[in-house]
Amino acid sequence: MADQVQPTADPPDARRARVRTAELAVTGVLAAFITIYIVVRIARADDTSQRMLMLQYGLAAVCTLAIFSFLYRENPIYRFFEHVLVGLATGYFVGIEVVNVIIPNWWNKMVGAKGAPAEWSWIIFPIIGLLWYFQLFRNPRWNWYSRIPIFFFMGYGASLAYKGFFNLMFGEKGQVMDTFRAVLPFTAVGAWDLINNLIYVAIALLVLSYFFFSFKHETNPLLRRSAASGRYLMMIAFGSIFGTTVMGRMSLLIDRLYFLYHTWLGLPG
Amino acid sequence: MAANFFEIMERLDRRWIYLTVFVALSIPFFIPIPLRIEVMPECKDLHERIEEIKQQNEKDPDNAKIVLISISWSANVQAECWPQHEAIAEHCLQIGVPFAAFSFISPEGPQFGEYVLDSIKRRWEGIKDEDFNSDDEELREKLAPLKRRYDRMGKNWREIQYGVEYVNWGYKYMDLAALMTMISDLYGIFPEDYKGAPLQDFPMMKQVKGFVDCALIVEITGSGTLLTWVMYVTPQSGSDLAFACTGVMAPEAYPYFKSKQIIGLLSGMDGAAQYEKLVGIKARGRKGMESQNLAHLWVILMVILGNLSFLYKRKKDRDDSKK
Repeated sequence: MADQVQPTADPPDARRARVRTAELAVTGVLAAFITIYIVVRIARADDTSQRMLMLQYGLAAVCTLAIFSFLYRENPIYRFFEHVLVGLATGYFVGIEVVNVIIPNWWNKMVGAKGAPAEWSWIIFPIIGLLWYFQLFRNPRWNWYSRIPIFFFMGYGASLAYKGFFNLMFGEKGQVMDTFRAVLPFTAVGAWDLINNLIYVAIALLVLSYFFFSFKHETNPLLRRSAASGRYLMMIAFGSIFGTTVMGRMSLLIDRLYFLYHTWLGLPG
Repeated sequence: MAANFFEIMERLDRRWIYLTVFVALSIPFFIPIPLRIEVMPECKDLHERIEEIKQQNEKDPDNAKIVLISISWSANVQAECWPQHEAIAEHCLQIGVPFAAFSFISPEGPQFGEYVLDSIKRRWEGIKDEDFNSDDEELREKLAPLKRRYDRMGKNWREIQYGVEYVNWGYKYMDLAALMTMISDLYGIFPEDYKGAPLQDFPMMKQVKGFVDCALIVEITGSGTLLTWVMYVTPQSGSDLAFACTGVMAPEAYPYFKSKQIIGLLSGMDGAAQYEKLVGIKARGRKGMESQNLAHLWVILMVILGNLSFLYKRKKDRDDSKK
């Protein structure tokens, strides 16, 4: 025991300490400014509803800025508001489920609300629903009961999916049907349509060839090249998706800035 | 000099990038940047379809159809879906096509539907009646789309007539079976509007029995709800379907537009900006796209500089290892 080397504490890092102090100071100044601003806006509001609105805007702004603080670095303020968000969202949706789903769709029908006759047979549905939780039992003797609601869902889902899938793929405008496009000069409507259709069909075939595994890609030169082209074409598609993702994330930030600048701070623009 | 610059770029703390992006996004909020917006066919098609519904309703008023807006969005995607919703609602109100709104996956949806209308009303409050016949040609041209409403309704053009122009059905949690019931039996699922008034009593709902009487359904969403409509509802109801979604979802929706399973597609804030241009307004979509453009240019520049720095460092490392 005596030979064990005790980890030595880091030597005091003066620069880190200075940064920490500066961070605390900036946070304190910002917090003071925001608090004073919210209080002033509330005090200057005309009536109670306006005051409540100003309070609401103030809280929303504080939440927004606290979440944005993560961009600087992970910090306790961010953590706190993250947990607030998760907790509120969970509580809110539990409330919504009870008020909008369970009470009107099940409870009211079972007990006969608004003068309707009671349908006590509806008691069976939560019992079937609760059988899902038998998944938690490891013993097959009890676990088996969870299969009862599963087979209801499987049967219901499969029957609906069959028709829906047929509409989607093989209906009049289905995806598979739409892939059969005119590529011969005398069938296409015009030159541009012909070029478009040729590109469309060529891309479809090249991408499909990438997923064609009946022959070895390495030993078949045609398949190797077409699969490589298919991969590049898919990468272009993924690039497009990534581009729109960036645009979407920017939009979220723009929306928050719109709120902070115009709604909360009331700046013209 | 260049070497120093690339070394600085290589070591640059990412938080400086965040800060500069933040600044780039903020500038257009205070200094508007003129931006040319090209309207894509998928946006134009939706606009034209709503115009067609107007003409059909005028020809056959006894069989007037409505536009249905499905509000499958909430606060988390309001940046992109709000401007889309606002532009489409504004268009319907301008030309007098009755429209309903409902939600089946977003409990806050109906409330957001009301907020959007409040936003339209607030914007209208800033327009004076005399502006429609102003001497300023540019202003007249700008207000031309809205003038159609002014010409139709006169002095009361700012009042949105609930039940005649617009109805909010509200939110109801429903599975696929309930949604399919609504194809022909709307009132079995939604007997009342979101305030509890009998839905069938509203003038614009007299001829509506279900989705079959909705000439166009516009799904505005940040969730994967497209297939529910394409697979199950619209093939049976015969309604046209338009899809207004977040930008990230749009690439996956394009095949359905090409196959005409959806007749219009608005992609994120860009789609909203295009639609705003068509209906002659400058709301959140077009304002947002100014910020969006500047930030994109900045990000592209950063990507190029980042890559150049990376290539420079790689070359330098190779040269050092040879020594």
